[in-house]
Amino acid sequence: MKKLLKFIFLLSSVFSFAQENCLIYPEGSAERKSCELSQEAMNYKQGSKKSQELLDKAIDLNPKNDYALKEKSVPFLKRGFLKEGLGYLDKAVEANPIDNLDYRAFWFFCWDNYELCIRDLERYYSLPNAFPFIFTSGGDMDMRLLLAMSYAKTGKQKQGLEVMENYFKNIEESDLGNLDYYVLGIMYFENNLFEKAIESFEKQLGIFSGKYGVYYYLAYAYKVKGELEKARKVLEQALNKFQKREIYSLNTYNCYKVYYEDLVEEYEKLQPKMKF
Amino acid sequence: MRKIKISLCLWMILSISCSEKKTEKNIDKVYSEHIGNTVFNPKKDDPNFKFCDSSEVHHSKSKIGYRGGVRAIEREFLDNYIFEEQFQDFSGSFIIRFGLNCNYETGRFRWEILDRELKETFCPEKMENHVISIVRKLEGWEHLRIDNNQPQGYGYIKLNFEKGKLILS
Repeated sequence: MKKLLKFIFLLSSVFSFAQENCLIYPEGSAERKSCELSQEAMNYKQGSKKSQELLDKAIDLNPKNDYALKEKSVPFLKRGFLKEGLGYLDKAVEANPIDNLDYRAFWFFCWDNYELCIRDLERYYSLPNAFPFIFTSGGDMDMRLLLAMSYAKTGKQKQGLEVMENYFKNIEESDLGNLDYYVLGIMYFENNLFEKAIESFEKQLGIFSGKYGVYYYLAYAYKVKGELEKARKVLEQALNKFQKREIYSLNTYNCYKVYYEDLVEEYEKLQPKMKF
Repeated sequence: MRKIKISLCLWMILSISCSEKKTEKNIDKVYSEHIGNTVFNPKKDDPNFKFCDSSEVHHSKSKIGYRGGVRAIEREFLDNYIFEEQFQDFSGSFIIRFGLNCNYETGRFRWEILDRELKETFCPEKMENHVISIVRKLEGWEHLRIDNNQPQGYGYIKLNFEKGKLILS
């Protein structure tokens, strides 16, 4: 079901991003022209001069064209011009909160500003017509996962867990993706519920085993429970599975980031001590 | 005569307000070919830093990496960061943009200093200079997903501070 909803969401996003129906505005109106210019801008490379100029014209004609305002913000935000990018995105949120709050929250999360991320997502989910299944711009995470992690990062671990438990109440097993059980496990871990954390991480490995973090936290949970041999085996499994990695992209927004060296370090700590 | 004067005044006020409105609009903006193309500024930039082919500089942060990742950047930063009492007045973020050329050298640094609400702010000048000088000296940059012989691009990093101390990500 979630996959279907996700598909519909992504499809509708693409549809609304690329094919906004400008015919809903009266012929000859500034809104119609603004809408058409926004669409035309999408034919040019993001951040290019031509695309910026067209979006500027669209915004001049209709300063409440939130689609143009949001699109205008994207290259600035992606390229580290926060002041200018947020200037446009704030206006987009003001003009149309329901379609833009999640995107701003995503960026706040990327910049480790969890308070602002919580503020926007709480506002979004309290809107009367809020659609629960909204995703990060790359489509890899439901925004509720970001909300849960943001709560945990700001010392509200219990609230974070509540978000994830509610999330799991309304989702079918077959719809779960690469990070759902991982984040649930992290929330159990953060609330010292290690048995449940282990259960979640094990389930995550059954779905997707391509992340260091799942192995690391699974081993850590076993370790905290005193099951050192199990912890060691999990790490051994991870070290056999993954290659040593030297270079990491800057383009990460996982606030529970685990590095290869963490796996090695934990594994070494768990090695039986030599007896003389 | 009085009516003419009033009309003249009204016309002037209207003209001024209209011209102000015009300057508020976007039509006067001048853009470079791509947002973020950073032109050499002799007052700010090292003249020795050059892009190998300035027509082929990407703007994709995902194509730039660091040996050891963000954690290594933070460690190297902390190894060189000397905290001073005056720095504790600052809580917020540095967003530092730079170019990485095909020789793995960095240059054209530009930055924004923002408060916890991500609004523009400032920090003690000494702290600003200190932070930027450390970032300028970072040497572990790498090009990822190399799709031509002379990869080069722009990237940025964020550094968050609480009372002048780096918050580890």
